[in-house]
Amino acid sequence: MGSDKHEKIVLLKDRFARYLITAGGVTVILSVAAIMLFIFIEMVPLFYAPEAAISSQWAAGQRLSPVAGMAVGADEYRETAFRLNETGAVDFLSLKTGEALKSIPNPALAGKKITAASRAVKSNWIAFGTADGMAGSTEVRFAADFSGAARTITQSVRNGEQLYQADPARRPVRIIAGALGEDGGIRIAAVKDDGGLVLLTAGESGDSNIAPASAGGARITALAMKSTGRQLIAGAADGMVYVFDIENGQPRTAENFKASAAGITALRFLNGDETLVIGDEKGDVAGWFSVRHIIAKNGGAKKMTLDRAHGIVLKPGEEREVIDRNYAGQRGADPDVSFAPAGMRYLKVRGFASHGAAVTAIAPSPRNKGFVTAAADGLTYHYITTGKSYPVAPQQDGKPLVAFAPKSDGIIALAGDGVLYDYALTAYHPDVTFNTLFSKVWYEGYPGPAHVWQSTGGTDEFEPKFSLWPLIFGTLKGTLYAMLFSVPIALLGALYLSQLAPVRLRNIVKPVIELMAAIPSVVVGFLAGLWLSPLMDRHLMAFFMVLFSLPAAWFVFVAIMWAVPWHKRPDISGHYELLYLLPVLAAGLGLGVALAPAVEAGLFGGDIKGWLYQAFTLAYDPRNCVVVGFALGFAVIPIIFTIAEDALTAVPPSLTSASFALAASRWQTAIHVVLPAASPGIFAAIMLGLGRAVGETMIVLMATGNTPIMDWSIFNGMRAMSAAIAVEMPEAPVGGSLYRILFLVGFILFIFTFAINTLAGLISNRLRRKYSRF
Amino acid sequence: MAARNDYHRGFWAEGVPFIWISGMAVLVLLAIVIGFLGLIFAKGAGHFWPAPMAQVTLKSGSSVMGPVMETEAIPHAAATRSLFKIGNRDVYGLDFRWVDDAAVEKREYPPDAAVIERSEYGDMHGFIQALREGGAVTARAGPDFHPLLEKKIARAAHLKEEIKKAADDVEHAREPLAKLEVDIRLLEDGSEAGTPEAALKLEKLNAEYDALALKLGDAITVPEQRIESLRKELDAPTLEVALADGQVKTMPLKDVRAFYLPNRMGLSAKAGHYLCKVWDFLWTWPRESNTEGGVFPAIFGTVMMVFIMVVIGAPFGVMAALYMNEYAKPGFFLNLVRLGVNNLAGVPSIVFGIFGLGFFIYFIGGGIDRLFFTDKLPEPTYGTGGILWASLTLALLTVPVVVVATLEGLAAVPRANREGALALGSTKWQMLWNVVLPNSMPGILTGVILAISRATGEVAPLMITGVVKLVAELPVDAGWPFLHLDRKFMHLGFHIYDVGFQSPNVEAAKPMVYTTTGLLLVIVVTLNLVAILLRNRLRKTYKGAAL
Repeated sequence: MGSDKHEKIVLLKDRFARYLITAGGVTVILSVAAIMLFIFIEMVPLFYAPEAAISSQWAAGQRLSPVAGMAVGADEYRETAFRLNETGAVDFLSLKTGEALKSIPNPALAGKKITAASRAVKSNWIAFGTADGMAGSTEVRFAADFSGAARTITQSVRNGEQLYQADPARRPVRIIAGALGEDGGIRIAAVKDDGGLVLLTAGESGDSNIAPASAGGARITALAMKSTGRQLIAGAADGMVYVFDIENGQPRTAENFKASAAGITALRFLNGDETLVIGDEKGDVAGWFSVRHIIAKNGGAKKMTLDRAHGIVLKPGEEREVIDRNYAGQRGADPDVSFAPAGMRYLKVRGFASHGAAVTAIAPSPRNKGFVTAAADGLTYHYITTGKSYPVAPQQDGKPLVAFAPKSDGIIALAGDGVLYDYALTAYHPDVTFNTLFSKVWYEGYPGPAHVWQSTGGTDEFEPKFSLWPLIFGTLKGTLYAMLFSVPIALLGALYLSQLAPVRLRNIVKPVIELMAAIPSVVVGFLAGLWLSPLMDRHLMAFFMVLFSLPAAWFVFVAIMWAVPWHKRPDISGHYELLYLLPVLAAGLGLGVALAPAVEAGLFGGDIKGWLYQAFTLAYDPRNCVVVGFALGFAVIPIIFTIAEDALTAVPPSLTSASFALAASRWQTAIHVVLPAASPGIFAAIMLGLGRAVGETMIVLMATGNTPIMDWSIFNGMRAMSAAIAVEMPEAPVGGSLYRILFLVGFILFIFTFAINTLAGLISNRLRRKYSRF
Repeated sequence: MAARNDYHRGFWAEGVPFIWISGMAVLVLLAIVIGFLGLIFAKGAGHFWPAPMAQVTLKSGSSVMGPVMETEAIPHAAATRSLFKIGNRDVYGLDFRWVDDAAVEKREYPPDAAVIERSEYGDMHGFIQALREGGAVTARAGPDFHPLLEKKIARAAHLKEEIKKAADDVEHAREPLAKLEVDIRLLEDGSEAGTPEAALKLEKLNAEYDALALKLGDAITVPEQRIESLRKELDAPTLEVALADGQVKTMPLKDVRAFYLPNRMGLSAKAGHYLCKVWDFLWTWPRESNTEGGVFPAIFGTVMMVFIMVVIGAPFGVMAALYMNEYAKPGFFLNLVRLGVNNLAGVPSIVFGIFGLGFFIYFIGGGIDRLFFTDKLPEPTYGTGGILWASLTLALLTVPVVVVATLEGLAAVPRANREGALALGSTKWQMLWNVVLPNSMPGILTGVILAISRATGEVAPLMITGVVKLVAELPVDAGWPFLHLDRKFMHLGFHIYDVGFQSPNVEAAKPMVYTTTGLLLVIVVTLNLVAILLRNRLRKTYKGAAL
């Protein structure tokens, strides 16, 4: 009986252990898979297209008075929408129930009719013009109160202090644009019924001033003003666009340009005031940037190629206005060319998918660089950085009005037939497409398309620049220099140790290299950043000299040994070989360091860094690629060394014995027999080293300046993918574009290293199988 | 003639010069590693040794005093200069100063030169002249001055302790009052404020408060008075110090932590001082934005993190290895798993970091917060970096190390032993538990030690999963529930990065960084040596058994 019970317990234990171990093992295996899956899932939404869906729609007449609307908007939570109607009253409507909440009239406008209105980007401040030539402003405000159980929103309207006479002849105002200054002053530009353009400036104290602006008699059909009130843009029926500098209240023509073959029907500055969106009669939509230009003059007698990439060639004496791509900086010392500033000029940077009808309204997002255009054939969402367009809604009769919700999560549109639509917009990551990640993009304020990584800029007016190339480039550059340093040393060392060195030496060197592998990378990075980089900064010449003096010392040693007759030559092979080489190494190093000051003074005017800059315009950055190469190489050497040494040692002795039996020398055997046999293993070693160099974080973080630039110069720093994750992840908002892009970067690193390791693993497996024959 | 030609051909053909090149590669490697370790230990270990204080009078008449840190050739000139650690940051604004050796009139080592360690502004270098109490000089530099001073400093430290104790007493006594205060404030400003019920309750609470205050009376006022008198005694003594350039500075004695006269110290005194400083370094908290003091919280954080990691990660690693080696059916799938686990070891640590951040912190931690800590939201409890998440991330990172080493250990157990156990009628588990696991213990231990070593030095994934530059509290303390897994922690490796690269005064922080680096290296190297020894033992043990 007792033994039965005991047996049962034993069997039970056995079964329990089986289940437990299986569960534990499967957990580990699943978590390995989960890592890859999770990183992938976090990254995928980057490529979702924006989605818009009607969340509610309310017909006119039924809910709102059937008068024409002039401007629309919504509160922060998309609970209430408002409409400024042509009587000047603001109607509020609950977007949840469709109930008309209240209508607040503007007493100053009693009996007047609004003929034009324009809403600001980031607030519900509206400039309007009336049928009797007056201009004014009003602001719709929403206050949210959280003290109760549920959020309550109170609507209010704050009308401008007074109305201003824009047209003394009291004719209707046709088009209007305005800006509310931070000091409470306002600027309003209005097109009168006769086509004349006036600029009205009013201070908070009530003083006002009206100045005319001349567009050369063109019929103005659209207006836009920067939200800072510094620039006014007028578009004409003939497709011309006039730019006025209005900083001091007096319009001054800055430039004018032909923007389209058709008439301009809508103009708007995007959030940040950098990009001007132009819509025309035919339904074309385009983004224009203001780019700095300079006038380059060839003062020499020969033809001059200023910029080969852009095909700018100046004939002798020719003057030409070109985009300022820092030519003056590049050609600082060239006496033949002179530059003069030419100011800012608008350039068409991006065209978008066209509407089928005239663009009636453009609404910029208050949070990013997206915008919605409205035309009779529907609404379209565009994003300036990517140049992509996404249809939001079909057919809208008449001249639809459109506005973004304050959080940029919805679009309010008032169709020509009076129906108010509320669209929920899930934009995901409109600023990221495959192209923006991997191709050159022309960003705001840049002279041309470029690969730029600049992820955060403090405000939402900043255009994030997410080109992955600078990071990939940085990783590859750091890896390249690391491999250049580590592969020769590690492979030669492994070859010597496995094939040529006495066994006693192996027993010393192998543990040393294992210890080297255990040194934490933060220690290596610290020493590279705080010791090596200042040292190299001070003794750059010595570093260069050692590159020459070490091989020179070897050559001299070889030459001496070669010249000595063989019977007199000391036999230095064997146990003490390295002891003979030690003085050679020391002499090489010492010579380089000792001669450096003299060489620097003699050949480079005593300052090699200055000489490098003058001769090659190479700027020296103390945390540069040479430092990274050394430090990263230090981290990689033990991996390459250990695996290569294992592979070399694993070559069966029968092969080497056969080679020695045929009177081959140590070196001949090592090179012609062992090396080819072990070459797959050596390849695997290099691959694993590469994988480590690519993923190493702390060293590149500490030993480089972390500047995301693309430049092959060895005296520059860079920013690697891994360092970008470490530095930027803590500041990336969860679920935002940067967060997901960093996951994408992690995913790339993961895939890359996983692939390299798999390859290396397969190779060493094959190698092992091959040698198992012997 | 022919022989000579043969020899010359042979010299190259045999590749003798190339052998020398590869030999030199090994030499360079050895030189780099030895130089690397030597540099760190030399710089790190030397920091606490009291260096002689040199006072130099410059030809311009001014005077500089401090230990010479280094002397180097001035670039592009045939002269040398020396770097003095001049101290007195509050007076000079910098800690270090280069002095051209040519500009030096004379250099001496005054026996009375003192280094005064302060709780603020780093060390002061000067000559201690007098001790004042309430303005009047109570002692002047003389034969018995220094022992008296030491006594006074010890007294000041004692007073500080007493004040802290008394303050704790006050706080403890006030606890019921503080609770009432919170309730009263809630009633005054909360959502119910202004309602008649609230007014009624408020009145009652106020009456209760007054009664309690009256009752507690002495329990609070007595220690408060004691604090006041202690403070008076603490604030009274001041120290008068003459600086090298003749300025006389007066400072409160309570700011002095210790003082010593390096030029008078003999070898044994220096050694004693050195050991004291090392002890301080290991057991005290950092001061002055981590540039001075000790690294105790970083050591504690590192050990704690590694401990949690091993407790969680090692069993799973061993189980995975047992599963793969003993239970799973061999085949394509198992090969795939093997490959996956092997490759995981090569995946960059920062990738584990983002996984930890996204999965553990935001997904699991955020979920815990939403379920159990709703009252604290939006302030995260587990939904932000903490020691638990960092440990889990590193556990994942080091699992492959444990698995691979355990597999190696399992494979080394001879087949005969297993079959012997099974033949005697043991179940599989009995065979594993009594025969296989004990015999593969060295392998498992090697894996665990290597995992610990890796985790000790790893920084990148920690930077985004909960490590911080300075903590106010350790993850373990006397407050319920004693073990605070949600707390952020300090880590030796991150400490090196932070102090060396993000400190406002990198130059002054450098010696600390070297010392911390030395400590980290000692830990990692020791762990690795143990692992190597264990592995060698494993190999030796089974060399015979495999027959």
